[in-house]
Amino acid sequence: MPPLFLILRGWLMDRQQIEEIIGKYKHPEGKILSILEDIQEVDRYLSKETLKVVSETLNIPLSKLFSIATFYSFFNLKPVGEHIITVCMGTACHVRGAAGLLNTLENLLKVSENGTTEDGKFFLTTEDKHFSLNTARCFGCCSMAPVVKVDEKIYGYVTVNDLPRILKEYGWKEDENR
Amino acid sequence: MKIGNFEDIERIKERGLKKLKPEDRIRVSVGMATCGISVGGDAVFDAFRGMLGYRDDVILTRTGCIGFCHEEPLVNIYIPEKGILILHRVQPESVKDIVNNLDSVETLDSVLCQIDSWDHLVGGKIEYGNGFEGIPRWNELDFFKPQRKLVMRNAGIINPEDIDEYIAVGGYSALYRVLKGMTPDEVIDEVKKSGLRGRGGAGFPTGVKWELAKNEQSDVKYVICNADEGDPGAYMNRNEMESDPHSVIEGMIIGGYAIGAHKGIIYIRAEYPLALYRLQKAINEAKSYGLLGKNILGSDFDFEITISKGAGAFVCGEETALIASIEGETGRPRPRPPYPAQKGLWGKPTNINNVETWTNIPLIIKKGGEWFRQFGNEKSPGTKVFSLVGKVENVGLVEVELGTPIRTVVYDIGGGAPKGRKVKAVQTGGPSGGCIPAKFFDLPIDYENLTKVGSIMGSGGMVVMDENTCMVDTARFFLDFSVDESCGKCVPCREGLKQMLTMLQGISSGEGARSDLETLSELSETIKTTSLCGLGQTAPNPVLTTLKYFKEEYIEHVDKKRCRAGICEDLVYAPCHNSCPLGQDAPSYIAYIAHGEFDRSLEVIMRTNPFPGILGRVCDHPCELHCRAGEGGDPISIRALKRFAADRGAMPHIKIETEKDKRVAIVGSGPAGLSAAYFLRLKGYGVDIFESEDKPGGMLRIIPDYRLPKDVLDREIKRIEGFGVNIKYGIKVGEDKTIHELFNEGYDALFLGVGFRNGAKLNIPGEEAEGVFDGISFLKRVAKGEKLDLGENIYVVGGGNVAIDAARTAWRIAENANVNIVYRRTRREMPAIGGEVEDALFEWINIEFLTNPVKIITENGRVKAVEWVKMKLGEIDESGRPRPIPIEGSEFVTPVDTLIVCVGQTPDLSFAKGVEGLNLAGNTVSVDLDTMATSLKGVFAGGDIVTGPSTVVRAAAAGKTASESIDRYLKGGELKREFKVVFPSENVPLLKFSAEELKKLSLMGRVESPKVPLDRRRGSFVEVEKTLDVEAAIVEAKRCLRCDVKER
Amino acid sequence: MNAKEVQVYINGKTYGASEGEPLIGVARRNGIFIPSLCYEESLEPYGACRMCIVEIKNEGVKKRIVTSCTLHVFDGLSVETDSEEVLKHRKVLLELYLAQAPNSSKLKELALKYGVNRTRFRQKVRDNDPLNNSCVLCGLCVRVCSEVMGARVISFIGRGEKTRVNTPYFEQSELCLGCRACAEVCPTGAIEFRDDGGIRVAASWSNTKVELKKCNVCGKYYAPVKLDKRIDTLYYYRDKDGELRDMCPDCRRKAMTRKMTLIAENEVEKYAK
Repeated sequence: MPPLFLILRGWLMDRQQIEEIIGKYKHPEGKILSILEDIQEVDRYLSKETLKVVSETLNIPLSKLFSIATFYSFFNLKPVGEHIITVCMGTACHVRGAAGLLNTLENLLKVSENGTTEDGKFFLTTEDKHFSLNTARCFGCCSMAPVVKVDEKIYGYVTVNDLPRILKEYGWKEDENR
Repeated sequence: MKIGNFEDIERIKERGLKKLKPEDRIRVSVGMATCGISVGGDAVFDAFRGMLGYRDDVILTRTGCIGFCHEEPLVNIYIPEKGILILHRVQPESVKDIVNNLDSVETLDSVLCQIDSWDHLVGGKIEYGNGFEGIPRWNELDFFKPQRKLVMRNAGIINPEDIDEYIAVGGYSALYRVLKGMTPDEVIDEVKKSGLRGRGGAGFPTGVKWELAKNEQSDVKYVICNADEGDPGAYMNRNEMESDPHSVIEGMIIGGYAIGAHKGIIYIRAEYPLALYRLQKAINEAKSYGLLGKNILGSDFDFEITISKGAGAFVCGEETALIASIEGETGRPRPRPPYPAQKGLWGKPTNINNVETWTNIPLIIKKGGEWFRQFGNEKSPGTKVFSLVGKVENVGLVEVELGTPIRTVVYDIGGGAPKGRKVKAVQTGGPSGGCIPAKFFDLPIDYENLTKVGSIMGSGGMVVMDENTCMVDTARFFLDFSVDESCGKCVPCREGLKQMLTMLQGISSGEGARSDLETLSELSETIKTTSLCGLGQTAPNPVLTTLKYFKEEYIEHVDKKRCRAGICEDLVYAPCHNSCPLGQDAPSYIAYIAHGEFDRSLEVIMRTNPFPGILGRVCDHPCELHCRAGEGGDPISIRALKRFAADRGAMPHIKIETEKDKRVAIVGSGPAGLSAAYFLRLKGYGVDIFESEDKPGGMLRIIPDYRLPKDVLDREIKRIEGFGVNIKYGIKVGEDKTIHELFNEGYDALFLGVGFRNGAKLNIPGEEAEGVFDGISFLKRVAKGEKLDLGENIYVVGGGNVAIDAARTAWRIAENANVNIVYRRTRREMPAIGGEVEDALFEWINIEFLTNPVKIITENGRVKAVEWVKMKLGEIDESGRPRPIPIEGSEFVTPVDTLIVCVGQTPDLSFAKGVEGLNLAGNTVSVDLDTMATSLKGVFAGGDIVTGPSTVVRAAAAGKTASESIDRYLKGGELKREFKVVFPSENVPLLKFSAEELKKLSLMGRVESPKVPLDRRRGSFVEVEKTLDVEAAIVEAKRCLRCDVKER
Repeated sequence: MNAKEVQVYINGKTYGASEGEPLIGVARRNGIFIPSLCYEESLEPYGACRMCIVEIKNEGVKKRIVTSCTLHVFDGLSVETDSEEVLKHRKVLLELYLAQAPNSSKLKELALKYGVNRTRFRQKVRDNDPLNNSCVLCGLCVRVCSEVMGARVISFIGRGEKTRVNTPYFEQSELCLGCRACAEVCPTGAIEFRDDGGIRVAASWSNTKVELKKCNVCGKYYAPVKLDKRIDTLYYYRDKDGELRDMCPDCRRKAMTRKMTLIAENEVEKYAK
């Protein structure tokens, strides 16, 4: 996890910092994905300006970078919420009721389908940018299915009733007029 | 320091062994692979570190995962001279206790098993100690017994972050052998000899694949490890990398040497940070020892490995897409030919293998290809690691020889489905694979066999599904995955899969049509045949296999808008309501109890239940089997709550519709007939029941009093009579009156609910003797009040509810006898209600499993003894259960005073005598199951006479369905039943709970009905189960998850 | 390049071919119609549209139905272009196409050729689709822009059935040359350009605007300014003194004819003397 101050400062890396990251990768194999992942680790998403800087520095057309960023599920192209909630939608979790968890979370967080970006990725962020909700295909924690991850913490054997309690740990407030 | 010669390796090996088996110190290794960490392994490690930090007599390290993920967090404790003890489910709180008892760890409760010696194969056997007394060895546990650890030879034992330990168990000795004395061709020959097939899914012979790349002329070649394990539910590769990363690296170096490549790349998915970390660390360690880089081990072979990360695209597991991704492109597959062996990464010859394939290489080189062939079978040698997940007790990573039957993995290793549910199918190969139904579980697992049944091996994911899994939903789930992960390049996959998904979503929400099923098949064929890459070519498999093996479920969804597993949201109000044959609105009546409104609860119940007092006592509660609270917790005591409402609630005012001038004759006053009578009467029809006996109830009356007191039974039936239903006793339709006569008397319709009233025979010699009863007659005679002398040795043959009833009845009558139940299969296959079996065992009734009677030995016309034979489980039959087979020579004799035979029931078909036009199917009446109409106009039938022996609730449901059909018939309209999705609309408000209350409710087990203590039961027929008291009922009702409330 | 000459059989008849060339080329060369959407001779076979499938009739071949653009011919290869199996799949594919791009008349024409005039599948209709609900994601526009023109203006966005083609962030591009190669190569007529006076608008590419050159002689707008260099390079060897610059093709032809005539007349005169 990158240092807290980097996240809280709210602004993104500048050209020099980006070039530093690029410089880490000497060999061409797999370097583009690694560079973008490293940038996202700090900035939490890839902004247009960032992609432009990468495009110029690496001499890769912006169209290609954009294509890559929108192809791979890993990359966020829109700012993300403070806390990211990921529901595992793997087979074992599905078979133990993950879909119900996702529905309930959507209702509790009051996020709707309109959160999808134009590249069609499922990533819903609350209005106050407190939470972002997305899904993952499998964390590999099938023995404790169904699994929900908030930031880096993994919760297992989650039932619908556990969700408000878990969300409250991250500052979620239940709405009075529901 | 760089390793140059054999002595260097030996020195490091010694050093490593001292770490693995420290001379005078205890070593604590905490399982720290991702599965262990996710259930608290890191907290356990920290707790140990906190307590052991200052001590130098105990070493604390990490280890990987031995595969028993269900029991994580696991901790290995090595005691010098003695061996290793594995502790399971260790929590940070218990660490203190462990540390304080390190000198007597073997006495702790959390000890699972011990390891006294372990064969690391490549490095040989290591004796860890003399062992501990009384503690099972690891390979004596059911979970490990059938397994064979080849790939996982070091996992869970060594510290994956220390190369010395890897070398201590023989690591890099295979590489040494290769570089010091084998040519590339010899290496390839050895791999070819072993018959190893690619473990990534396609199963292409590895040696042959290597040869193809080797034969290409090029100055630059690449070797790639495909670690983009994308199948959801599959995590074998992750474990292989986290627990034994060097085995992958060593394999790749050897592979590079064989092919002529000097650069290896591990393409690993971004979602595996720990594996990435450990691999990188291992690479750095290897480099520092000169095992990577220039002039490895002093030879003239150079090799380096870099790691390339994926970014969340399943399709990048496909070879050409993987290569594109490494090259910095989007992961869209390229047409083949040319194959990667000819033109791969950067256009150069490239060999790609899966992680698990690489881990097999050092083993094959060191022990030889011949040695490898002794595992597995001819076409599929070796072992495979499977991730056994889903509805199975022992979730974990399982390594078995190829050719092991599925049933061994699911039942012996996995322990079957939790909560005694039936396993329905197993899904292998992830989204590219197929669902294999339980009846094929004898199938040996190998590449060819799996393909034969329509699935594939894939990377090794094995998801177990039980009766609460909807196969339509499963197909939809996998298609959803494939649609999401499709790269979108070619039309059949991109557009075709999406259209299939749209259709499946429609079927899942009750809007499908039969033509959709054909379109799905057609589209599947085209997608499979014309897709560009493996993702598209295999994505239709889940749909094809479920269509093939579970077509009934599709048809039910389409024709009847019904999801029998209770999963498809739009078709299911709540799983309990969905599985109840009567469609009882359980969430509402339970919610009313939680609110304290018992009367309203009973009102809801009686809308669809003619006798709640009876069903609240004897129903086999399919609702509880499907209860969602039962997933990972205890199901709600729905039946007990229904009984509570029936006993406590005031009888609601039930309105009878306007009187109609049509009359219906009902034959039989069992549950089917009573139910039909109830519902027809409420609709305003005139109803007369013709009962051949002198008391009503049919089979209900022979249910022993301790389960269903006669006064309760009579009260419930009186209530139905109170609505205006006339029961005429002593009239047997078929003898005293015929069906035609009834019509002539003016009845407009007829319902046959005559049941299967007689007991079936064993058909073995001696059955006519005195002292031999069939279960039904026995129970009938007891119900009539007859006093029977049963002697001392009572045996009941059978495994259904009648057998249990007979046994527990006999136990009460013959106070000093020993009562035994003999059943030819095992507990798992027993059809009786689980609670009843438990009660029988509680009452000290002995149950002999896998035993069957052969002949009855009589003396003077009376039974004296019985010869039995032991059975063993044979092949799996159509029902998915293994057939019992007698074991020759295992016959034995026991003295028997009373033998009660409960092996089935037969009907009395006299009602059908001479009735023209009434079609029978064997000994049951043929009906249209949607309308209950027989082949005779105006005659309907339901209950056991249609289905064969079944349960009370199903008979009642048949009566209800028949009443609706008769209603339509008598109104002169369309008899055909219209299927619509109709949810109850009671909308009982949700209760609000405080955080503590919620926590308490989610942690508590289920509230069971109080029962009469054992000492008060023998010799008495007092009702065993008592009604819940008010507080208990309300608490249990609050536990309900209210699955009926969709918007929260 | 000396490729071996081989014999292949298409629909029962023999044809000559060079070993290793794609079968679709052999067929087309000999007037046999194999439909395709993403095949373009000057580019590497892409394998996206799957329309060019044929059935291999040779014994012992595991995969019978293959795309003819990636089928490298060998001696004795025998295929059928319209076998029962091929037609069965082709029709289903066409139904999928009609559903995906319901607005393309070119697609409808192609489908009719095989008797497919309706689709069972749900049609994909997007409001205000810049590609007129006619795009089949064959990739030709992207590849031509990138590999032939080198401009790299557009690319695939997203993945799977959500894939679209456009400029990054659906914003106007500075890099577009205005060459219209994308529209030319599009098999379904999905790409729209509008010439509005001196500005060419790539309507499909987020209304990217490209300046057009005006002909010095007649005043017509005839080519994008950015292609200036390339056009002039074409004519360089005939126009060393820059006389033909900034002229539309018609005027340039007239000017060149005049010039050539003048040169010729001079020569004749020289002779005459």
